Amino acid sequence: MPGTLTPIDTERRPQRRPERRTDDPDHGDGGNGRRPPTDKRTGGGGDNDNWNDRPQGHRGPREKLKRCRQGVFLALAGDVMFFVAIVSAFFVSQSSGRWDAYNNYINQWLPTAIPPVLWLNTAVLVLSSVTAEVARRKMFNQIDAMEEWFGLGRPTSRRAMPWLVATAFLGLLFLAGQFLAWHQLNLQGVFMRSNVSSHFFFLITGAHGLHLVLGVGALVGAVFGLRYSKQVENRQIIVDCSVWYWHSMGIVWLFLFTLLAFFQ
Amino acid sequence: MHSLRRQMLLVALLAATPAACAQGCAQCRDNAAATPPQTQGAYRHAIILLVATAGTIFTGTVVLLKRSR
Amino acid sequence: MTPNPQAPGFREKHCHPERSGAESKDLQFARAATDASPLKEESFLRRCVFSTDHRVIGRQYLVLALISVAIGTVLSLLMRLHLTWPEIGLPLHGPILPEDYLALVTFHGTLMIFYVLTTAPQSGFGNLILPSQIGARHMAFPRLNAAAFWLTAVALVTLLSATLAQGGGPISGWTAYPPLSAVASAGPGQGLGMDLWLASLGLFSIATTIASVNTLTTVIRCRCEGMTWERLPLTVWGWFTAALLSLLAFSVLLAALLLLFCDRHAGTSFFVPAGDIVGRTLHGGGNGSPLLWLHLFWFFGHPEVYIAILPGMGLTSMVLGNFARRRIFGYRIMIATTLLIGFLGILVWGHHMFVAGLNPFAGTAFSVSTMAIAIPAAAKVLSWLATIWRSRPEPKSAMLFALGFVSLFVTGGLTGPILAQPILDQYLHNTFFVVAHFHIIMAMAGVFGLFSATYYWFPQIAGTPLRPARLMSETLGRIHFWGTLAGAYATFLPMHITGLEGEPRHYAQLTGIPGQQAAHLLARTIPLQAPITFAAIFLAAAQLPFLLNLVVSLRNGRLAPPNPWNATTLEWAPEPSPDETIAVHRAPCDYRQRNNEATFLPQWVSDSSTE
Repeated sequence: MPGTLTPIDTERRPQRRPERRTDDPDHGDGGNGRRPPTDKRTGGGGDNDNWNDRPQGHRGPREKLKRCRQGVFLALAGDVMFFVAIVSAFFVSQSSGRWDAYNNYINQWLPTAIPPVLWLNTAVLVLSSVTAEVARRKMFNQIDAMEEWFGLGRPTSRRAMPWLVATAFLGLLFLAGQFLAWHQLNLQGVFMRSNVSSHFFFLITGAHGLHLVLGVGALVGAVFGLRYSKQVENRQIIVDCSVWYWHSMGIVWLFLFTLLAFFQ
Repeated sequence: MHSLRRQMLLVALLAATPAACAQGCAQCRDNAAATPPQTQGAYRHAIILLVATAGTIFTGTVVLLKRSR
Repeated sequence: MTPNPQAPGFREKHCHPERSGAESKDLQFARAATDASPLKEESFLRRCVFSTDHRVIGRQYLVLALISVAIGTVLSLLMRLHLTWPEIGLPLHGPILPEDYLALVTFHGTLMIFYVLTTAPQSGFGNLILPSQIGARHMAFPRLNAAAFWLTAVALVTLLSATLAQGGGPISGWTAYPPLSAVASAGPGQGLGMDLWLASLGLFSIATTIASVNTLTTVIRCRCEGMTWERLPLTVWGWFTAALLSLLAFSVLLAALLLLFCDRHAGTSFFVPAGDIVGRTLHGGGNGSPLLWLHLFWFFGHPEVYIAILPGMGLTSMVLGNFARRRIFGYRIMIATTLLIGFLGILVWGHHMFVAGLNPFAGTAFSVSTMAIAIPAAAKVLSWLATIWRSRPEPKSAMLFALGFVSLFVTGGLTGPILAQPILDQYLHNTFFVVAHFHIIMAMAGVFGLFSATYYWFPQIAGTPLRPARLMSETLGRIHFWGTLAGAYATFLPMHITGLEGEPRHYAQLTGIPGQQAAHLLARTIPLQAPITFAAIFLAAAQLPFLLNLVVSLRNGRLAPPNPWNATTLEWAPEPSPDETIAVHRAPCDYRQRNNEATFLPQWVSDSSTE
């Protein structure tokens, strides 16, 4: 028996803390022992029940909805850049002039007087956003959604459908009003090529109108989805995403309308 | 955070730039000479609008995503 | 769709057992398409053509990019031939007229930048590899993914059809500056050809926006358990940042294209100055300005080049770490620099417009931001060098191309700060110095990134549920690498010299120019034209081993063992069964030395099975 027991490994091996603790904000303490862990999504089951730890497809009842919403909002961010590019071109063109043969500086921008029907259109669009939001909220009514999930009829779809139809109808009304505005301007001899300001008037209203046509298409698709789609989750998603798109187009219209009405 | 501070330092550097000499080729210089102060101002505003929107969307997305999971 | 375990040869090739001890399947088959249930017989159209499987879509993008790069390379060779020997005519076409040359320039630029460098790194390899690397089973919106690809394909066909348009193809370059691009009578091919070009790019912008929304949502929402933002591989960070930039930039391009379309067909004058006389006709009713187009286009154009290079930069980091068996030096800083390059890329577009008569204040601001972007880029280069410093990397083709990427990035990047000075750019703008700069740093480095990705991920490309995963031939790969590297430098380094001597871009001929001074200046650039052209032909020829390698390896390549490169990222993990939970337990690139033995810990192996 040896007189002394010599440990073979005299150098203290650096104990590495398992990496999960320091770089994973969902577990552990965020690194300094003081901050609580972030964003634990649980169903109220206490600790160790972070839904983010579950496999894809099981992370809570709104996982797919959040994914689709994320996609819609990212696409809208891109769309915002599209409109901002046009608006910045608007500002530049507004202040651009030229020197004529006699060295006079001429700015040919003549503000296009917006037809008064545009105010009515704006009100119609705001109203359509209201109806759209009502439809969206009805889709997420807890009791109705649960009944529908159980297969006891389709109360959410039944309740949301007329509001969706109303939104689509108001949207079409808006588009008809835009056409009317264009027609009124044409009758006064103002066409797209008439003046720099009318370039922008027709371009902006046209681009926005095209987006709204897509929006009406999405709403019609949502109505069809309410009728033919099989899972309540999918019905909620298609209505929710269509309505968020619709709201965004309404907000964009408010900005564009303010631009056309007050900043020409 | 280390990288955040460096980013802010860079942004501050970008904001503090002095004026420089003009430059230009023939046709573009004529175009520039025909650009009076209001138009230059309009270009400045338009540039700032585009950059601010894009920059806000970019940084906003990154910051929001860093906060949530 | 289930793999056939009875087929010969698949069980024997299990030659590299994973040292980590993870349970692995014997067969390295690619992940099966999980969208289709094995019982449902899908039509050929649904399965192969309009598939929503991200791997199939990734391969489709790669095929599209391969076609585009082949056409683009042929066009560039024709350009070089014409510049060097203007009297040579094409067999069925006759002599190359000036408008033909400019059409070549336009198509070369458009094809290469959009249909090769924006599709292949981001959508091609992204679709193929991104879901696996983050532990997702599919992308967030598979049907949108397929729609985006087919829209891109339609856009490519539209672009190619512009060559057949009446009047010929567009001649205004990939940058399409007005008034040349805004007035149909301003040049041959500026009528229908230009409209088709606009339509093609409009469709492409929409397709890329859809694809970037898909990528972003996938990275944000579809990561597996344990995959935090800091544990994402740098390739994913590259794809993420490029997708974010795509989203912002292509929308502005779409707006600019729309305004240009209105100028051409709706009688507006956004870009056409008043009093502009083109061919005895007065155009321009209002006060448009070409400068407006320049701003809008370059606001898109500069982020575009970062979109092209960021995925390659991410891949280079991972490949260098993999083959040098080293951790990435400064992983979190690399993430930060990726984001910073993306962000600063939005701020620097004015450096394409130094000679366009910018407001001098703006010129300086853009100059400073352009030089600022060199800082994170330099940090990346230092990290790459530090990662491989004093290591003994295995000289595999993927590694060689990653090293080539670093080399070309440094070379091309060094001329960037030169061009970022307005006073220097005043001389160098529109000369071949600029051409050399962007070809080395974007075309060559970007393409080296693509080659590295191809060699590295070939088992993932080749492996389908019906075919085993294979490796590309290393011998051919080495020939390809050295030939391409030598060809790239031989072609583009002399262009710096001709550019400094004043050789202009877009000139269809360098001889027979009236005017003594101009002829004298151009005559000095002529001696280097032939060497450049020979080098370009050599460079193109050096791609033949690669094509050969692709074809041969797809059929008869060495069967790939699971995780052939002993990598740590998730795409090399054994294929998970449909009900298995995918999880990661650590950051990637966990290569370590233990008892003088190099080992590694992949992301998917839990702690308990080691030590």
